[in-house]
Amino acid sequence: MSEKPLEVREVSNQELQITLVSRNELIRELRQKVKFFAKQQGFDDEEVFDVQLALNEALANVIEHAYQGDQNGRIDIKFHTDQNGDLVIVIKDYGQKADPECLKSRSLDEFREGGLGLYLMEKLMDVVQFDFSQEDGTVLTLIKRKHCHK
Amino acid sequence: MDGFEVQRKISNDVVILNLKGYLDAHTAPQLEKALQTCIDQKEYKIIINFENLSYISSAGLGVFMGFIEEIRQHGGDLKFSNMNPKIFRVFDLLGFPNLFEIFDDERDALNKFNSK
Repeated sequence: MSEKPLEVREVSNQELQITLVSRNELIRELRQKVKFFAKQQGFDDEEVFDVQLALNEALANVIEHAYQGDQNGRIDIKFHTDQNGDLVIVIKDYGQKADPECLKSRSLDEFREGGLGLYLMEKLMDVVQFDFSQEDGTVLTLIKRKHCHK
Repeated sequence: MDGFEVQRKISNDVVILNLKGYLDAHTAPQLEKALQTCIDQKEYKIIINFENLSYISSAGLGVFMGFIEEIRQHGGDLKFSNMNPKIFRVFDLLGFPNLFEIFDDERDALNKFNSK
């Protein structure tokens, strides 16, 4: 990737592509980008908040687990709306794959410090799907249905 | 500019930490440091005032989880106050109201400490 820590490409009104490096300080900017995009697509305030937090949690997990603190890992993100108007976020990393055992849903009692992110994503989004079939890294798809409060 | 600040004040033997801005994986170490300072100084009665906090992610909540056991072992507690509905929602989704006492107002949390 180029030397910019964060690059945005507006493919259309319904699709935004972003590439960033694996740094926690960029998460706040991503929250702003998805907030703007989701509002533009007609999602209400509560839905926008959910999407912002879920994206935040997904990125924090990629940075901490897939790249294990390496600040130069590449992350590709796509926001788009599908034919139903639902918001789809696809996050691709090129880091270490997670152990699927660690990604099973757990009850809150089993959590201590850490491990809260996946639980939150599942609470906030309608679909949370990991694809480990890529040769390198993982693809995470998050979907938020419009006006379908969980 | 990190977009996060912790302001500290003391009322009798209770430490009040006022959080301001955005608490996430990037800024959580600042909160961790503030709580570690309390522990190092044997200050175990702590109120976290969220009035000026705009945002929290699980990294922030993880910090509280990391300290609560030690604080309670020393007879203290972490009590929360002045959460706006968005911040409360994150705590609620994670079941924190069962683990921590949450008060509408800082004064109520202080009274609870002082009534013991």
